Amino acid sequence: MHIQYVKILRRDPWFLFAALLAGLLLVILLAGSWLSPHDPFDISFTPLERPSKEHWLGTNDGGMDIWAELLAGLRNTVSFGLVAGLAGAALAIIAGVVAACRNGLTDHVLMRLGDILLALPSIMVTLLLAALFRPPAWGLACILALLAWPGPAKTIRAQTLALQGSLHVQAARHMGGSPLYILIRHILPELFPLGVIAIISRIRSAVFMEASLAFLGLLDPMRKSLGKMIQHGLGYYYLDIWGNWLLPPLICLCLLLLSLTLMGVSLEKLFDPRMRETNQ
Amino acid sequence: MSIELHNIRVSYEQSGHSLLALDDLHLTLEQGRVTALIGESGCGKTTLGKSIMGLLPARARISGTIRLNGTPLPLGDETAMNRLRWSRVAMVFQNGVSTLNPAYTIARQVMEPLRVHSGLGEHEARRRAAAMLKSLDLAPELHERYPHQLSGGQIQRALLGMAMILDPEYLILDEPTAALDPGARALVMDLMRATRRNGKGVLLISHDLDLAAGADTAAVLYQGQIMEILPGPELLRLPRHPYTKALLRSFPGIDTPRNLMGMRGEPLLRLLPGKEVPNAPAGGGHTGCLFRERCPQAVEACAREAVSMQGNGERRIRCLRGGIVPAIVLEGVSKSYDRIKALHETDLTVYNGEVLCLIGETGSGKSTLAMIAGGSLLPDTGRRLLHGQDVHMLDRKTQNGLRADIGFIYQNPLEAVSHRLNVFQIVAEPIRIQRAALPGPGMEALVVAALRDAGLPCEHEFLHKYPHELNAGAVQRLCIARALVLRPSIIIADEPTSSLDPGVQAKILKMLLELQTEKGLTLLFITHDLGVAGKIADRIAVLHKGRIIELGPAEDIFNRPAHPYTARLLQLARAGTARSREMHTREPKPGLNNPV
Repeated sequence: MHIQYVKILRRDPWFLFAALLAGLLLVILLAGSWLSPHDPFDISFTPLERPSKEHWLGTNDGGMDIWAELLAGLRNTVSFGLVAGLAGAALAIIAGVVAACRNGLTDHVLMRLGDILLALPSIMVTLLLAALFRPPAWGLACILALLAWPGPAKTIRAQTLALQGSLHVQAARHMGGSPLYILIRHILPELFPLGVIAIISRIRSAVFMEASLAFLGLLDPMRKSLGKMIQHGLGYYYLDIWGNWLLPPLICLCLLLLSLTLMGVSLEKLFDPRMRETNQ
Repeated sequence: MSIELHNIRVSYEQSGHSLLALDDLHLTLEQGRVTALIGESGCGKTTLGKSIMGLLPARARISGTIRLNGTPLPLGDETAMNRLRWSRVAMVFQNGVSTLNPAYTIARQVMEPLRVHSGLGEHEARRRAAAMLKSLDLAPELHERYPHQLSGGQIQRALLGMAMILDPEYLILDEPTAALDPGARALVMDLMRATRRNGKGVLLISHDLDLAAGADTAAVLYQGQIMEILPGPELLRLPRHPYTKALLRSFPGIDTPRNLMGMRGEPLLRLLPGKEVPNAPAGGGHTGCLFRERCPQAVEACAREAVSMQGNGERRIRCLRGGIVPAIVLEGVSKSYDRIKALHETDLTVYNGEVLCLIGETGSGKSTLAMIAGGSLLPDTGRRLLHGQDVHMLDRKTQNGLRADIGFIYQNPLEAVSHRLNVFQIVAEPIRIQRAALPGPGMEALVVAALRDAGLPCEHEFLHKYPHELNAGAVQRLCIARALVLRPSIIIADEPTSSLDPGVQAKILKMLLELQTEKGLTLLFITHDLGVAGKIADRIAVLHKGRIIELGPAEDIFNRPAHPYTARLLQLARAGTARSREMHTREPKPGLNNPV
């Protein structure tokens, strides 16, 4: 069945579009320093210059190259999202699988903890923690991961429980397969789709959260970020900087979120038969 | 008063070697009793009859003693033997027409013993012969016919008349019913009964098990050795030797639901190198049990140790393991799920090499019992013995290794395999899991062998296919290959064919039974389909509300159900068939689609 996944995805225009977008962003990200001749922290240029051959998006009030700044910000935002998203998804998978495999007290404790975290509005908690302790960006990513695992963990736990009752897992158990063998060979491969969805959705919300926190000025002011650039640019909204200063980070952020969202939706549609369209 | 055969050994000399036909044979034919000698052709049945008659060919060598009412038979002395033959011991030979002289009428041949032995005059002899033939349902107009003018059944009657004309003390009947229709068979049975009533001894040599079951004693002969002696009535119901059981399974009985499955392998010819040596050890140079190659429960010792008859009296058996051994024994096992008792305290013994069907409706505890038997579910109470070992007493590792001896087949094949694994990975999975317990040939060879057993292709291309590319029948075959790959001795099949259509089901069932026969597997088969159970089971256990309410040979369950619930199940199953048949035969009523 999983063989068909690739086939189905290749026919899904939304997924293709999202993947193309994500690939483009990734190329820009990886090629970052080659694409811009300038250092984003270099303040030696004339402030508020219009876009030119030298400065593709002009310069900001501090005389920094906006194009270089945009690349650096995009890189920071995405890496923040990746750290928080991967850590959150990893936590979710571990918590979900452990809760399902060791039912009883462990399950109970983990799931109630999850309920409490779900009940807390994570944006408020993050805002508070960021404002009070001013943690470095990676610290905040970890906090975000710690807050974000319960949702996917519950799905994964349910799926693991269902899998453990499935016939092929029972068969492996009858053959004498150890719990570890069954976990690695039978359960984790089946959880892969859910894991992918969890990772993408966590990355998406982490990217959004990073942009928001940076916009609110709760992150390290010296750190380049899309949110920070937007906030900075808004200070000069009365000048003619929309096209070269405000819109580029906004568009970048939108495209990033759009591609993640579309990929997530496509995958979810693919892995959940109830959401699958009838025509395929 | 009896014929006692003591330590009889007969071999036929052939160029350069000799063929052992009878060996270590002890048998007593008592007067007033019918003793049946059964076995496959070539096992030495007729040789035994001819030994008693002293009619072995010249190239045969016989040792041991035969006593007729206490006195040894003068086997070497032809004149003395001639006096005994026909008058005291008579034999009806197989292949009737060839034993009659084509140049004489049958009346003449029947009266011949009278004239030779009793010296009666022609007229009297003819009168008695006519009376005898008439009592055997041969019409007078047939008496003056020549053998080639008679049918097989009529010739058989003439031969019987010839054997009985001198009223001998012992009658040896060699395959008396082989060429007969059922009516004539009844005649032979009546005749045997009458002979027994008259205090004569009958040795019935036959491969007809129904006939043999009517005897007082049955002796099962295999390769010249008696494997089991048991009371005739128990032959069909309680055989204890694996060979007897296999023989029963091969026989097309009318009441036995499962038959014609045969047994694996062919008997070995027991050739002795060189000439027969006097006082040679029993077994004729072959050590161990003669049946071991075909026996589903043979152990290493069966090939090494000499096996002698054990037990005394009515039941004797030649088996190192003391007859059919239990593969799985469950003692007082029970299981509850959340205070719902799925299985009450239950005892169950699954014997080696048998097909035991568990039948019952959904929720009757069939699967629970099977899972406990297979060791994949721990019972709340009770003990489980696997091949005589209490499994829970063993350490974890040994326990896990024992799982290799049990293969599981499941109801829904498509769910029983992970769709992320390909054919090779699926079949190789048990090997991967149990690899510590696996010496010998490589994984690939084992997988290919298992696939071949399950009737699947084993090309490289097929090994890399995924389950969704195969149909349900093929996936079930795949599951069977997976169950077989570690060469288990026990297979537990939980409704393996109920999700398949009848055509595929028939093929899979047939293959399972063939595998069961060929590999000597013990099969615990769970089904709700009585039709299926009837076609495959040796024994059937009926479960109802978590209890075994009836357990017995399949033919008993089907023909004489003891429990009302079983009777009801059978009735419903039969009524279901009748009803659906009725739907087709009934006249269509006038209606919208059938205007008058």
